[in-house]
Amino acid sequence: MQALAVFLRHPYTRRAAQIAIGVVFLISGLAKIGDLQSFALEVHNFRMLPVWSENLAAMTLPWVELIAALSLLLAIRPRAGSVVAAALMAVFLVAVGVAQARGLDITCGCFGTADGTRVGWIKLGENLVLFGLSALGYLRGQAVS
Amino acid sequence: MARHASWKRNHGMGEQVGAERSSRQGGGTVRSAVLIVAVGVVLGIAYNYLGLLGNPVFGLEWLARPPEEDVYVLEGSDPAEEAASGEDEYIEVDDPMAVFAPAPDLPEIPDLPRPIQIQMSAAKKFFDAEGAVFVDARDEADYVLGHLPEALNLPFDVAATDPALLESIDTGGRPIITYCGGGECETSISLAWFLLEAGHTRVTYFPNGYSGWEEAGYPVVRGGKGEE
Repeated sequence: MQALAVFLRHPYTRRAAQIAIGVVFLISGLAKIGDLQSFALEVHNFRMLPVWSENLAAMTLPWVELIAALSLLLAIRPRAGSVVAAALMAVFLVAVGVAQARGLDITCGCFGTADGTRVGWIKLGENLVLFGLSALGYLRGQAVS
Repeated sequence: MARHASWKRNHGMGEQVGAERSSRQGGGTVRSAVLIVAVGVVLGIAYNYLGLLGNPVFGLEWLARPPEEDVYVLEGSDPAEEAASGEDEYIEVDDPMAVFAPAPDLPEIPDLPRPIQIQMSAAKKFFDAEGAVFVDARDEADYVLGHLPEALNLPFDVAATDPALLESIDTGGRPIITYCGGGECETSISLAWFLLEAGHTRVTYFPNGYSGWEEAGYPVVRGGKGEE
């Protein structure tokens, strides 16, 4: 248990988690920015936001992903980047979970239109792993007391 | 959504930060996180503004309008609805197969260049009279777990990449009824569009999908594709 805690809090582990989550967010952010219309449609399909706000979410969310990714990859305030990434993953987890619970049969649009993955348990699992990685990127490397 | 996310983080992670030994640095992290969100939002809005000026326009309208649902609901496919609606829309039917209407009590499906939504009760009538070809738009794994008897399985994502498969469906002049897992059934509507593009006519779908069908206590079968 002690060894695991040491591993999870090791600076290299943290940096690796930050880079991994940074790459994922970089790809997903750019894919969405490249095709805003499609992403707006995906946001609509989730039916979580009031319709009028869907475009505002679709136009800003990918850029928040991108800036968080750059923060993580370039190690500029990477812990803050991890916090933003974890918050985004929490939102995505809720979105996919709600869509799943409502039985919506939709594509997730997680990586723009190139990603035809449908919302389901696998997607939920992926999101959970990414959330975990984000949290790992936030952990401070201090002695376990 | 972004603002909502930052609110969440402030109140969620803020407690953890408070538990950190060096709370001053933790406060800096929160401030930086807010900054990241703010920069993202500003850039997103700026980029969209440029997108609206661009040629061709690639930005989004600032406030989304409810999309015009491209849905045509078959009139009179539901007995209760039939009684209620006084203004029937008449559509010229240009389909030679329409004269071979298989059974008099089946609703007539017009030949329209778009998927037609029918009520599940209407789908059941077609099912009972074997008056339509049922196509399941879900994954094979879902199909094996349970599907409508005699339904073909044509997963939406497979259909998207294989037009030959779409064309190979032999309807024998009958309309096609697609269905999906349930809910709003985007995948069955998309599949219906693919079927129309592949040259099929009178392609319909019913909302509620397989889960609605099963809940209604209508017949289902389990197992693979072999049994058709």
